[in-house]
Amino acid sequence: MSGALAFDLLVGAFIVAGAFFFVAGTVGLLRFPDVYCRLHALTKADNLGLGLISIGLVLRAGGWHERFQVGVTWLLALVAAATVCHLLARSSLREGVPAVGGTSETPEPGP
Amino acid sequence: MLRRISAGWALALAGFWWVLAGPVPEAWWVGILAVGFGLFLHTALGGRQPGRLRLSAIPAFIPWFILEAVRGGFDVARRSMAPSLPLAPGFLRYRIRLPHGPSRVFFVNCISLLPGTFSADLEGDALRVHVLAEAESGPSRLAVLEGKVGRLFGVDRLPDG
Repeated sequence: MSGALAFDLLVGAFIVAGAFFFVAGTVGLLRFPDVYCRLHALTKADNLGLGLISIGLVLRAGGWHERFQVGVTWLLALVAAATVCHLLARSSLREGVPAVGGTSETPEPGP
Repeated sequence: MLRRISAGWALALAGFWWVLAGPVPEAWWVGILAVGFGLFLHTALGGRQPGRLRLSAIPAFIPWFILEAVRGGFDVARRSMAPSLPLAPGFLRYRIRLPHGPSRVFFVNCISLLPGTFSADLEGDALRVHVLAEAESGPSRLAVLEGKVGRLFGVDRLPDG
């Protein structure tokens, strides 16, 4: 097996693995019972999926500038995911959107 | 001291601009304005709060964070794909002991990126955390993260009580 082919396979493996986690996150979005559980699927699975795809793209990138750009994009996506997750959960809680499960503490309804 | 910090931030923001805009000389006319505005926001929104990212502590934090992020992704993927949908969701309360400022913001955001937890609401020092499986992510794991973030920013956690 030639080196170039092995390299392409490695890049492909990272990107396919990343796509798998995006699919898993979407399955969670569809199957999980309430808005709070669905946010887990979005923040965790998609961040890992984007990270793996970023690694694949960094390996393939044409130069240092492109590599940094991919890395910064992933970092910004991480920050945005954490912030958006918090804002969605907070407004859901304050509006009294019910949560599923044997909770040690259920959210009180909004004012 | 303040001047040194601002120079560091200006350099970091300029580097950030270079990454986003590319090596295009004309883009720096906008870039200089953007860096200036970023510096202004940084000082206006809390440049004097305690806690600064310690560069020397980053190498210890990143491998741990990546490992946890990978575990979090696998955890959610496993739960979403399993036919029985193994979830035991719930909320727990956690009293934050990091001081107000960058370390606290960083901690609250990190919770949302680690396995099975995200921060849902914050009122005063009381953080409400949503967990996917109550038994597996208790307050002790949050305390571990809080300690690591404290070391990353060189701040002490406030005592209990």
